[in-house]
Amino acid sequence: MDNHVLSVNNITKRIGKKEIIKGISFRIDKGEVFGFLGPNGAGKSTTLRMIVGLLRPTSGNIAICGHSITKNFIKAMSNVGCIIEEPDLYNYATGMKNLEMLGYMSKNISRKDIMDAVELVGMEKRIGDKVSTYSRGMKQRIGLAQALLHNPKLLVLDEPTNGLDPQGIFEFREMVKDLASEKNISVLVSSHLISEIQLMCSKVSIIKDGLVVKTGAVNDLVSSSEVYWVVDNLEKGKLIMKERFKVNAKIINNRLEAVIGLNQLEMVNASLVNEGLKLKYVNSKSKTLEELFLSLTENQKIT
Amino acid sequence: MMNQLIQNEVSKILLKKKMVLISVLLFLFIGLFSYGEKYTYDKTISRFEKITEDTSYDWKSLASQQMMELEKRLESPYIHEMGLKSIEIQIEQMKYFIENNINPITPSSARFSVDFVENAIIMFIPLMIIILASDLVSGEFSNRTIKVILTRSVPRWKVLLSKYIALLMMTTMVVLMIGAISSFVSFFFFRVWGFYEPVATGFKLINGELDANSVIMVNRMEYMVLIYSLAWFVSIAIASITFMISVLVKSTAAAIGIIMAFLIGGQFLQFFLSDWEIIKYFFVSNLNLTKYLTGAYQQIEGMSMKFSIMVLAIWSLVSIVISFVVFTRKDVLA
Ligand SMILES: Nc1ncnc2c1ncn2[C@@H]1O[C@H](COP(=O)(O)OP(=O)(O)O)[C@@H](O)[C@H]1O
Ligand SMILES: [Mg+2]
Repeated sequence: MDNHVLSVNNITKRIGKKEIIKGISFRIDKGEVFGFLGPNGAGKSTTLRMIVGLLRPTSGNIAICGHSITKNFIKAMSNVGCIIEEPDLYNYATGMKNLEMLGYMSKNISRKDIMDAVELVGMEKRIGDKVSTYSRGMKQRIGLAQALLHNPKLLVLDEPTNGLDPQGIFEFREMVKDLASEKNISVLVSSHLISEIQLMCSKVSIIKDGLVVKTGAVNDLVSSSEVYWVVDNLEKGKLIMKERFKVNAKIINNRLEAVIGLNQLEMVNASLVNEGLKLKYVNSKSKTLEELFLSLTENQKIT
Repeated sequence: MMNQLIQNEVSKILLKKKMVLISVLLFLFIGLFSYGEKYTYDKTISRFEKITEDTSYDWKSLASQQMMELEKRLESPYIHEMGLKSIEIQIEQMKYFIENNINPITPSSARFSVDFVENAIIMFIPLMIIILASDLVSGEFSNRTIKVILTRSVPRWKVLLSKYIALLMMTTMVVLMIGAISSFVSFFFFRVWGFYEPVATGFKLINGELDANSVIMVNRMEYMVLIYSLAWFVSIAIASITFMISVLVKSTAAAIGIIMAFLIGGQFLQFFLSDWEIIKYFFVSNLNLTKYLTGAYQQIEGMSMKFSIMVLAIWSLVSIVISFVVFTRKDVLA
């Protein structure tokens, strides 16, 4: 048994003849906000549906807090709250009734738990009104309250800010970040918007056509840059980088080239100078997440 | 846990105002029918008074008058064979009633509520049940709340079972409502309860002839309980079959369309293709359980109460099994 909140191991999904998910693996630690970035049709929703037990993977396995979603659905799901695609509610009932009905579906949820969740999402004033009178943003809040009712360890959100206005997006994002930092809830959030992932997540998997094309810490992916140095002693420079910074630099066209984090650049430069090398020229070309995303997902064809 | 899940499902049905809709329909139709019956009765009397110029009639003289009218209709050259048989049976029955001192004429509340069910059992009551059952599962798919209820820590079979039990409860409710509303509304028109009048039941058709040998006498109240139990059984069968369709299709409109097509198509089939053996195994052909007690004309030979109950029970069981198997394995893409 592993101690990841979520571990997804090489899952695939075939619907009809089409293989929609072709082998996706990733893990989420406690309190981590994990982004799932990919263009429309990449397979984000399909993957999330498998994680919350709505679809059965064709192969591979998924464990939530160590419990397999297919073999031990009840235990696994008692640790998950989710909003898949839209926050869909019973329009003919009040917000409160919607929450109560879901409350009955988990063990030991008291009136107070429900009120706490309502307060957490700031819906106290309108909770007694029918859902049909709510705005999209209010429905999203009720959806979040439903997802949090049973104090889950993992929150799964599928494109949660779709259809919200900028104010709503901002508030929702702050709410999710608070949850992760204060309650130590892990969050898996999918989006086709880079900015969203960049603002919310610490780690990201970029997926395309049902495959993970890159996984990494958002900071690394955003701030790593291709740097080249022109120095008098290339070999010595390479050695310094290797020994001090564990960076594998290459000597190309009489320059030293490496990919490093921008925060490291000043220190690298200082070391090179301190070691007596003559630093003639430094150039860095930083890659934004957007460029990375585009370069990874280009040549997208409708399949 | 299970209790609370059932409570959820009952609240959903109530919040959708289904029971309100059903009550309104029941009041409307029952009001209309009992008014109609009152109207016919008043007419019979005024006709009788006109013909005989006698105002001190009793039900026996009314019954003989009615028998005479039926016999007159037999002589009509335009009557088709089925109608002929049906009238002959009615005449035989009328004779039996007069001989045995049973009043088949004066309308009473208890008699109306039985008559109503006998007529409503093949179409009107199933329609009420369809209103209840058709969107029970498909509705969760069309408003996509299915993903919300299937992503809680409750196994799918429990979710479905709670829906089915809620449906059984509401179905029972509807049958009781039909009994209560038809008794009270018709009493308003007839001013006679008639719960303790004798009833002759158990007429048999042997080779198309009425056989009164197995007739037993009960009072209206007992007969009402019997008829309503049969109506309840038919309702459960319709509920179970509609429930299955609601699991199999994703849209409520499609679910209603399919079950209605069965119901109406089935009535046609048993009328036009009554010689085709397989028709009698179709559930729609077996809905009219009460006709086995009243000795009404049967279109299909070789069917009995026992047979119809078996057919309906098997259809219900198979429906439930299919519902559970499909629902617990279904990929939810809605
Ligand atoms: N029911 C279905 N049958 C067949 N293909 C589907 C079905 N649902 C989705 N797909 C396909 O699966 C792919 C992934 O869809 P989805 O997971 O919704 O993508 P995303 O959420 O990343 O936009 C798409 O190419 C879509 O066409
Ligand atoms: Mg999607």
